[in-house]
Amino acid sequence: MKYILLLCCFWVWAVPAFGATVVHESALHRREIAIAKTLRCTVCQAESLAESQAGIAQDMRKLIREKLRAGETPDQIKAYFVARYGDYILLKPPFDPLGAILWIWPFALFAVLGGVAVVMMRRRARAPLPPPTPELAPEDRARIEALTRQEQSTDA
Amino acid sequence: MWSGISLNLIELGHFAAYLAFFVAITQALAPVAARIFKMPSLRAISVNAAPLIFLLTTVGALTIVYSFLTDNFSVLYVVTNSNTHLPLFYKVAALWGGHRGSLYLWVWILTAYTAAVGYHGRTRYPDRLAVIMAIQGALIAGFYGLVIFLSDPFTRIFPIPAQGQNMNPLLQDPGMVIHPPMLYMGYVGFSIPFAFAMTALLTNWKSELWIGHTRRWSLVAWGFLTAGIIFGAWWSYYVLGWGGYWGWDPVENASFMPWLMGTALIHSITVQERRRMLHTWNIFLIITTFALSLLGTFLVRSGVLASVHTFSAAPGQGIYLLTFMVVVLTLAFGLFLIKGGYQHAEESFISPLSRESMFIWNNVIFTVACACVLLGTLYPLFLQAASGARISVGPPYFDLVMVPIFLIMLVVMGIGPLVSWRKANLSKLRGRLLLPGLVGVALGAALWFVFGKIYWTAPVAVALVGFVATSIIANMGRAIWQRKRQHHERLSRAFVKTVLGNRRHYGGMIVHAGILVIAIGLIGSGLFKANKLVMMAPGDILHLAHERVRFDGVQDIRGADFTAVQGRLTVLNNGAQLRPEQRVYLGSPMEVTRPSVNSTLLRDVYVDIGNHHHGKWEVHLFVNPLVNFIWLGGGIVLSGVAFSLSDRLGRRRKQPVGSEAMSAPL
Repeated sequence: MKYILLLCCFWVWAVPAFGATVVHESALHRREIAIAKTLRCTVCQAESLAESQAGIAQDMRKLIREKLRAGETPDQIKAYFVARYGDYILLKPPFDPLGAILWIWPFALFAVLGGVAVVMMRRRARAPLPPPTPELAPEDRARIEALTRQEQSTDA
Repeated sequence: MWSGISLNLIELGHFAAYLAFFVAITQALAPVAARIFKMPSLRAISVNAAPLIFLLTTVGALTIVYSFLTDNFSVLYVVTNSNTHLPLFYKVAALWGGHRGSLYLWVWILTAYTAAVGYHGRTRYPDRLAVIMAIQGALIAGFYGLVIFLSDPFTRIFPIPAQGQNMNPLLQDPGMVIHPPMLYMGYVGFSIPFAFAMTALLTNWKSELWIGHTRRWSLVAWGFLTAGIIFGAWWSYYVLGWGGYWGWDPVENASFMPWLMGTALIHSITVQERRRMLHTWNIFLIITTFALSLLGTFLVRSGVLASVHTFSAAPGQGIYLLTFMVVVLTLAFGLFLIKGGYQHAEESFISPLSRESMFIWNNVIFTVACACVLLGTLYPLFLQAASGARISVGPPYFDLVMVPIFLIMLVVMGIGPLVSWRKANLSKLRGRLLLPGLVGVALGAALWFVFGKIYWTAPVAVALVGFVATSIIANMGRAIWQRKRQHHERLSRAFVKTVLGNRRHYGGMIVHAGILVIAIGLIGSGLFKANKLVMMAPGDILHLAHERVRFDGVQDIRGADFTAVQGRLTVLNNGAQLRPEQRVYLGSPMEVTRPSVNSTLLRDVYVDIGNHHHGKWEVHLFVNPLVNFIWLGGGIVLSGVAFSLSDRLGRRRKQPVGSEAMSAPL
């Protein structure tokens, strides 16, 4: 019953498509793009292989596809590109001596800044209040009065 | 003899720019001279120079625009960025369509801000105005030096070519007309808090007297920067044709960093105003925000990073900008180190659970976020310069690092406004958090239940958005209810009175709501997008995420300054027509993809057309849910900023009544 219902839905949904070819994206392409997104285009600035229109990017995507067809895993393919181009090709820097700081940095910074904030708040909470502001000197008071009077006259 | 007239005019502009440069130097030096020669009247020069410099720079800008409009190809900048076929609209915008002109726009906006502060300060802070103007004058002179000596938009070329090259095709879009001025108004706007802070350090200006003005100027700059970033994303989405709007491109990061620090700043200033603490930290934030604006300008304009934003730039400019930046920041941070603590906190911290502590956590998180973007953007450059090793830091890294930080921001955003100043009552707070917490968990769980297999960030982000939204609404409802009970008013009147009576707070809440709407857009388009790249023959149909799109063929079309292959596609669900193009512009060999978008509130159907082989065309179809929420949220954020800024205006109108009442007993 459920299937008939589903079929009916699908039929209504697909009616205008009768007589036309429905195009599908190959599963291979999907896997190829997933890998291409993690690799950078070597001739462009800040573009992944998946987005780049450059000729070399298209060639490299083709290479990825061929390697996928040959049954290689995504990790093997990435390793192949790293071997040829170095870590530069990876858009996500690996956790190695050069890239480690990028991954440690956010946590370290949170710890340090958070720690400083907590210490400062504690210390300020214990610190005695600074002395109250001293009484206004007579000449200051006269100045304020003069200014107030001036303002009132301009308002009027 | 049109060309004869315009020849004269561009030289007039050139002369005006030189004059402005020298006036700016005078403006910077006048208070120094006043001090050395003990002639205080000289300080007036600084103040009076501001409108003059603005006027002269405007003359220069108008002559450049005029040269574009009259196709004056004796001007090098016009030759490289325009031709006779360029539509009128873009000829005006061509002022900032290339490297030289965009630097000129930078300076022009800086002079406009300076003139505005000069006018604003005449009655409000006349005693320190000369120093503020002198600092602005020094910045203007520094940038004018770059414009005049290294990137002069007035340079002539002989013999005069018959036709110009074209404007960069990617820039020929209405988004490009709005995006750079907005972004620059943001970048440059942060120079004003900077000038205030420097003046305060130099003259021991009591912070109560200037921090309020600084807050408002910062908010103006922040609003423009937000608008600039949103327009940039919008342009990237509708023009570049990659189906996205934010790619963690180094140049995007360069605009995002001052935004993050500026956000920390406008929150942190509130603490200083309300609780008279964090004076030193706020000055540090002001300097850092402006430093990041300068860094952004340097990164984009020096050619260190190449992208669609970097026009070909001579190497000397990079060195000039770097030197200028180093000098300005060394002086600023040096002054900060010597005198940063000139004013101490006047109240002590009472409880770690208070509004002020929430603001401090906000500052910690935004600073960490900014530092992460900074390291990710600059580390590859440093590494390459230091050791020659090359690594890449791209979107996969930033998504992984920044998304959790954004989620933590949402948590603080939901809790912060519920916590009271000084010392929060824990049990009361728990009660206030109960409903938002439940709503959030329910929404997150519902999403998890409906979609099942999704990345963990989706339900968490949705839960947090629900949490924050409920907390905003509940908080507002509570305030209105209280007023209604106290004043025995009707609900509508209580609502209006409450919201209008505290514009700063509710302006902020509108901004928060806008950020939530943007967050919804980011969640939808980031985590639920779908795309397919296929070869299609005319008549073929493509299914993607409940959308069915039919390819009807292509046609050749001709625009004002380009020819194009235009794809014709129909979205079968609603009959919308899509017309993506592959354009070839005059004077440019590259093909430019122009996507076509059918947009509804809930989803965008977005399509690119590519090359063809054997009667089939490459069609790249995207279904991006909720993208419009991002633009909508941006609008809400800006209206919130405007509402918050309307605060002082409203109060000033009421002032005469108040002063009468005060003068009565006298």
